Amino acid sequence: MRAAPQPVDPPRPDFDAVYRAHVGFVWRTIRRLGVAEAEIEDAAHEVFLVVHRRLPEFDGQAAITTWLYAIARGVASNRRRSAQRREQRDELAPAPAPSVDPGEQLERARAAEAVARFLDGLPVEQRVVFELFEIEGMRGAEISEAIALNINTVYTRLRAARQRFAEFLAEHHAREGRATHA
Amino acid sequence: MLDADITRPGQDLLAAYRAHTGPSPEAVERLAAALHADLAKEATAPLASAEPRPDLETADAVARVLDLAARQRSRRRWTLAAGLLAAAAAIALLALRPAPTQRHAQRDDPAAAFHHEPGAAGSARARAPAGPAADPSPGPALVAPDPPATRPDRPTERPTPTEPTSPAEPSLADEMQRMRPAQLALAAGDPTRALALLATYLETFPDGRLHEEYLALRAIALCSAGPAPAGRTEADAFLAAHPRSIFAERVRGACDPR
Repeated sequence: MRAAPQPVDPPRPDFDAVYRAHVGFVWRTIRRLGVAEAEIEDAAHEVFLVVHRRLPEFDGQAAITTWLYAIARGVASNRRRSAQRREQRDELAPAPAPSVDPGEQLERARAAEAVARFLDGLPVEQRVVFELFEIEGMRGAEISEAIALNINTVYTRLRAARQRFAEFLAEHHAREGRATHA
Repeated sequence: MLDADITRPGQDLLAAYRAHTGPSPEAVERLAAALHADLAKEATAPLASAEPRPDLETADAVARVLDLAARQRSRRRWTLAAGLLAAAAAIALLALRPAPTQRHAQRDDPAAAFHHEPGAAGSARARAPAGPAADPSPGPALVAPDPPATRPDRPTERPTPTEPTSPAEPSLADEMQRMRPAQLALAAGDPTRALALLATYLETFPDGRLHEEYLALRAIALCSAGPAPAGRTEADAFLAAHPRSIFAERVRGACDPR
């Protein structure tokens, strides 16, 4: 007989759902934190193993991206992976198949390169904030918490980076226009 | 305009960048399969799964450190870095108890102008889950060396959960334990002693997991010790090696307050 009411567990995010929704964010975050290209997948693997273990602790009070960012940051700063998991993945890997139209891929690569050039020209402090806000969709408060930066500073840097991006866009489109008419 | 949204063409460029720098669909599926294989293996090996893996403990603990770091902002910057490490050591000593509840900074805010912009964060957020896209080509396998197999000078204090599975590998708790006195010395305004203790840390853990933190703390300590150029040199080296480090801001603050 149970007199005490059953505690109601708060809904917990499902691991697969978290993986599917945020693997891109984790991947880009790891890349952004300086992990070598060849190690990104392995690092992402490690991040999600930690996520799986700690997911029951995630109480939802912080944004999950902030939480994932902290885990990715820990993994990225401690990259010393063996090849073991990579080998395992290679065994499990499906045969690669082209999934994107080559023309579309080329177009996207050109656009991405242009953005990469813009980002490379940004002061690193602005770049971090701009990427997390504009590319990853994190909110200012989440960024403030993730990188331990005063929220006013977050927005100051974001404004400055946006201003530069507007200037970059104007130049970019002018250049594209000239190329089209040449 | 400060609150101007990014135009549609700009959003398109950013979306292309987001897709191009994310995982390919193949990578997403490959990684998912590998994760499921790992998790299934853990589920069928209760003993192994009951003993946390050292590599995961590392990431786990560092993530906790960083969770805490977000809450440690106060006062002078070198004190901040010191506080971070103190908290990290404390967490390690608590032997991986559940992480404290994260606070979500809900401040009165300059954010308003951004938060109600549907095109910026909102649209990025909406697209972010799609994540996978073009080919980032993971490239040829890069075999990173495993951590050193033995640590003759391994501290023998309180065992951590990592020890049974990896007796040769010092735990992150060991490292934090060793770094804590340096942090306390720095917090107490004794950067000279902090430097000596940091040297001890490096001697004990020449290939430690907290090396980046070590470098940051050392630069901050040197800068706090006086006007000698050594601190600035170390700070420059740190910032060059770790330009995106979460500690970069603090190092700059301690060494270049302009």
